[in-house]
Amino acid sequence: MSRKEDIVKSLRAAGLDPVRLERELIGMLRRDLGSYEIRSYLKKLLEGGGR
Amino acid sequence: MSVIVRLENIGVFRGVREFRLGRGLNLVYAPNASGKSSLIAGLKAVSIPTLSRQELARVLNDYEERGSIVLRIGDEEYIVDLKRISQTEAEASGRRLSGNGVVRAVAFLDLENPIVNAIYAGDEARLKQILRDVSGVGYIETIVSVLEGLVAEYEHQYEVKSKEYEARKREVEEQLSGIEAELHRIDNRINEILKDSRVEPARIEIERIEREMKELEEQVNMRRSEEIDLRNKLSDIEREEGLRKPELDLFKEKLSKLLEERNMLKSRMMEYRRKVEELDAKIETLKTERSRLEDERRGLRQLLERRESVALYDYCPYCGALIEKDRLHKDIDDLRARISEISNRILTLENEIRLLESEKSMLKRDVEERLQNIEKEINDTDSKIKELQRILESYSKARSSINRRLEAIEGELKMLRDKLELLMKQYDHFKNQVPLVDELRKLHEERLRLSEIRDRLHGRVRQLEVFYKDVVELGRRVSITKLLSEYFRARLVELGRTAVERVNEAIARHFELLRLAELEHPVFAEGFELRLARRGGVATALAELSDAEKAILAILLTLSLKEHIASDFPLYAVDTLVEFIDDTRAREVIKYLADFASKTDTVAVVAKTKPYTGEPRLLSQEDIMTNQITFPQQ
Repeated sequence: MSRKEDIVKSLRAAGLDPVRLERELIGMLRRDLGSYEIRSYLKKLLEGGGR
Repeated sequence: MSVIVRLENIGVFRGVREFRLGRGLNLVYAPNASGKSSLIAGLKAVSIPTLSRQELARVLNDYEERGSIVLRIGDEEYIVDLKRISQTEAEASGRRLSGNGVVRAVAFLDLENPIVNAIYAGDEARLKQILRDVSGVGYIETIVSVLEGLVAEYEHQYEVKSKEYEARKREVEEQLSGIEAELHRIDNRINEILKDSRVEPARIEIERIEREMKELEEQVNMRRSEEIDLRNKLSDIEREEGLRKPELDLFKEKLSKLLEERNMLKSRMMEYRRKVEELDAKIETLKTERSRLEDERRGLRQLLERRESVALYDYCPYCGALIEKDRLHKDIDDLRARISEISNRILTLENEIRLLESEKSMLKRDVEERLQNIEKEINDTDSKIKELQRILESYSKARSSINRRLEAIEGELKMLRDKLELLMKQYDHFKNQVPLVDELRKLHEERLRLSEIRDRLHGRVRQLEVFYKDVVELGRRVSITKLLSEYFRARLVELGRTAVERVNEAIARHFELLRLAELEHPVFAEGFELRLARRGGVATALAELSDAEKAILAILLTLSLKEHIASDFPLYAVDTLVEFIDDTRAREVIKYLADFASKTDTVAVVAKTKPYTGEPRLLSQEDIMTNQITFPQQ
């Protein structure tokens, strides 16, 4: 198993799907949202205890 | 499948204009200032939600305050309404074809396109950055940089909090170990005194008092420990109450506002129904007028057909009468003018009907839908209030029960202390017989005092456990953020490589355009570094390309990127760029686009300026050639 797969597994075990998160964040950036919105979104996600 | 674009007050067009486009190539071949760019700008505005207010103001007709674009693709309809805010700014609302902002860079090639701008400025660094953004690589870079910032922030918070925790824990542990040592010393001294032969006369009584005292002290310790736990619980409950009460107040306030709004809307229902009836009546009148005009147009068209069918004859083939050609041609012209007038009136009526229907649906949204939403919000808020009240009530019950138990403990402690006091007095009785008893008594008092402090310190240790949970949570955030950062860095490396490979592969498939731009494959090195080489392998730079080559390169790059990241977007438009290409190559580029559009089932719109021949005029349906290329070579 590659390091990336290990990371994906660990993150999923912690309740966070990085593949889905990547899609969501890129979607936000493509809708012209910036770093500030990305940061707020990530903080809410991390401080809310994952998904 | 038909594609219809209806523009109202867009660009050079005032009033309503409707154009039909087809799958494949749509060559818009018309003179300057006729509205070619207005059509493409309208398509762009109805496709993308990310145009700036300034760009939207440029889409709107300079003399109008409002405008709209309707795009109908098959059964789907997309509508955008534009409203001027100031001379240079406008805002848009409605349903767009796509929510993907990248579409703007890869599907609308005009002079506002960032790729076109970077290519014409010869700015390779900017082009690289745009391509990194468009392909998603730049976005991953942004995500990585945000995550690195978060890692640093959480690490700092974790460090501060864990240091604070360690310092508090050390302080309590030091105090505890000092007290334990002192208690140990006292116990040893008590044992020494009890073993002393001078205590012998009163040994039996003193040992009894000692035993009872120990038992009482143990009971006191137990009560105190329970008291500390209960006080910790009480402060947890009070903290939770402190958080929940303002939440409850907020929900109560929200509920009262919602109820107020509901009452206001209900009182407006009569007025609303009257307005809807008025709008329905207006719509009905307009529809009747429209169908009357349609009937009239049908009749006129039949008349026109009859007039046109006899235009070639000298004598009427039906009645044999001599045909007055001048009169006939005047009749035909009059009929055409009247038909066109009626058609315009029908378009205006349809637009008025649409506006009234949109007003009706807005009114419906404002009243009926809002009312439904309010009811739902009231229910939600009410259940949240009930839930919070239930929680607060359970807190209040728990608080009362804890307080009752605390009162009981206080009583029990008082009773135990009284008993201890009595035992101390019994000590005093032996004080005169045995002088060591006085020291024994003082040692007991000290032990009681110290064990009380020790119990309080154990209480602080338990409070520190709650604090420790925060430290653990911060540690969890640090490790998850680090993992995320590592994941996105790995994705950056992957994407940086694969995105370039895919775009280069797409470019290779468009080798005919590469040939027309007189360039060699591949065009990008790793990281979207531009690597331009003339045919034969001579290296060149963006700034050294001719305007025609730049235009072909822009088309080539956007087609390749569109295939890679927005292949399902149905439109591709080129405005102005074709003018920079000589006619021979322009024809080939347009043919290529026709081929591309038909293979990919895309609606390609390409604007090309027709030489000026007479009166200035606006774009009409006849200027749009679908899947045919007929412009004269100069």
